[in-house]
Amino acid sequence: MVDTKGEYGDLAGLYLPIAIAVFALVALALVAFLVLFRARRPGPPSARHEHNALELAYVAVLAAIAVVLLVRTFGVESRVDASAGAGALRVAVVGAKWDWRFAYPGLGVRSTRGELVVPAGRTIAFSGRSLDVIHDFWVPGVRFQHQVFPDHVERWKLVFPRPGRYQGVCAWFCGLFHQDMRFTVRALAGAAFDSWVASRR
Amino acid sequence: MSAVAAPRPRLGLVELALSTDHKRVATRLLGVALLLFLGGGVMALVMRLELAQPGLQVVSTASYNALFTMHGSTMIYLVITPAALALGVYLVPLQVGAAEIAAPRLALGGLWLIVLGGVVMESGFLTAGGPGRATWIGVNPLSEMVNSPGVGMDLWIFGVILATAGELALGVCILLTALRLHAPGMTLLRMPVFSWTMVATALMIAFAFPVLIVAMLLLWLERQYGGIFVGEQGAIAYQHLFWFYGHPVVYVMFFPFVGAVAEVFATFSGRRFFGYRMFVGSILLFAALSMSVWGHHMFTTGAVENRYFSLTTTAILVPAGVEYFDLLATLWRGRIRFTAALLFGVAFLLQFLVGGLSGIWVASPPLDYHANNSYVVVAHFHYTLFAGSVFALFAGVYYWFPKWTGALLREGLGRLHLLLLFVGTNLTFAPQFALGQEGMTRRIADYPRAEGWGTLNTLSTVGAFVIALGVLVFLVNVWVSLRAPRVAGPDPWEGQTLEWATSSPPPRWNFVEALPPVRSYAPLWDLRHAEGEG
Repeated sequence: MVDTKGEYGDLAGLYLPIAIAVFALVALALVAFLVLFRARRPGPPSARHEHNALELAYVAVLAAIAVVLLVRTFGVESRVDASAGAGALRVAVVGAKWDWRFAYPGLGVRSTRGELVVPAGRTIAFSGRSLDVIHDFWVPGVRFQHQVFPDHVERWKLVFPRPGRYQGVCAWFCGLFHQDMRFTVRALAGAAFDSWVASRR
Repeated sequence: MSAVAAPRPRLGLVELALSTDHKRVATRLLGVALLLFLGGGVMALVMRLELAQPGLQVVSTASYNALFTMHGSTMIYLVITPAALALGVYLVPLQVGAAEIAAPRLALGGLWLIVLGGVVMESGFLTAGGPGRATWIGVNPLSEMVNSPGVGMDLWIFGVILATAGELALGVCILLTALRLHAPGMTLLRMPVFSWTMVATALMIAFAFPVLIVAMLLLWLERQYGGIFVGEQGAIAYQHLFWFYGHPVVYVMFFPFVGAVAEVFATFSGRRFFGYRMFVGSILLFAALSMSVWGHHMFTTGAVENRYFSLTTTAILVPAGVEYFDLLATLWRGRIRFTAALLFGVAFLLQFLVGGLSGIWVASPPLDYHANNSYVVVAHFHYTLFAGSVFALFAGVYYWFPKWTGALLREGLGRLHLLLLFVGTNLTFAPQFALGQEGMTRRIADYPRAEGWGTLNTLSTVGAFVIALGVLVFLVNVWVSLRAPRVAGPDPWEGQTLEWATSSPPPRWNFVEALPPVRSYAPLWDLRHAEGEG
């Protein structure tokens, strides 16, 4: 079971401080140089025009940063993208202009339209396709999206950790009513989900 | 020496259209790009008005879809790429000490192909069904006849083909000029920094642009007859072809401008550009890497090896970091003159950094699973293309306008222009990071009131109009500076490269007197400092 929002938060917690630090460092250096080396200062400008040893050392630092970022990214990605285990609940997503339908093979319940109902805390194994153009299943609340295509089936998995409602939206532009192609996710606690299933048979 | 330049005769219509002088070709191209920039900017203003508050107030959804498609297409195919090439067409022959551009008729043909492409693409607005509405990517299968009916979509495809063919022609001319027509002594490693960035740009164009032309022809065949992008991965196949062009072009719209800022920083800090060889190596590495990153646009398709594209994309931070180092180090212990050109370069450096750092963010697939297709991406690429490239273009314009026209732009108006543009740009695009993070998707005319995105969107809209005001000040500046010219003379800035060793504007064959000796990438700097050396 992978908490995509948590994984996203952890990774962002590495990327964001580095980005802010780099920005601050460059901004600080820039402002300092502009103040220190105004034209009013006496004496000619420096004639030095390269310092390759220094710059190569700096390249090594850059490469090290890239390596750190990539190692963490790959680690998170392997967890987020790992295929679902045996106990997962299967949901078939169909995107079509301009709404979403969800079928629950194995549960014997009628499919839902515009609303995805799932048990909270359990891994959901999605298979997705489209009936027309490319659509994109995005649930910002769990920091995850995946595109669906008319010509083949895509698979991904997700967990909605806590009971509650999540907004879903089509993220890939799909024509006239793209902006209205929204859905809700209703994540129910185990017992509530069972009674939903029973009521929907 | 006492000869005064004769008043230039008025140009006849034939000369206006058919002159093969690279300077005139470039001026025309930049003029066309500026005109379309204003057009694409108006489209953006209409979109921002619509988005200021939830609900549909200004345009219909269909019109909005046409507007964002044409805004993106205009800016990328017809404004920023042509403007980058216009700088190269004008300056590379001068910087390498050539009397003209290589294959001047091809260059003229390139100009007219771009103009024709613009006319064809924008003429979609005159058709009954409106212009293309399938995003600037022309994504398949959305661009199929059944999903996007109307001749506007076909006009869009042919507009892209024509403009891209023109840009390819200009890229070839620039590359040949740098490699074959350089002055004696101007070896490859004495070529000015800007010319090097144009060489790297032309190389990317030569590899990537033909692929787009083919992709567009296939897209049109698919649209009319079908049978091209079919089967299991048909839609994906189109995306591979498109993004093989679509990512290098991002750097085509970046390199020439970073080259311009490099020249501006060197000149206005009175130093030779720092780290020349590392810089040249880094842009060549950058250009090579740019051919291997296209799949990062497809992280959420499940159809590409995400780790590979994440690796190549993140690796770009190394050459990009080298460029930042060299730009900053050029200011170090210089004697900095705060001209409008330098200040635009400074704003470019800071703002592009936001674009670059957010680019590293979306190069991480798990972060992109959230950011992709959201306003985070909109903010990211506007920080690179507008806050970055367009600011750097203005740095170049303030720097080279005197060479181009013989007249200086007004510095005061230039500062006002920069101030408005700086405030407007950050007001417009910074809130979009927050909107995207909260789940606002791009390419929507409306959003639910319940989301509470109205305030940030209103700020963004206000910012867009401040940008418009800034652009207006620029137009006034150009008008005033040409009406009551302050004569620039051949070298108003103490330039370092050969374009400053001839009159402003340069004569038909660029150089009348013998060129100064070329012993480095900054021959005029050498000349000025020769007496000081032992």
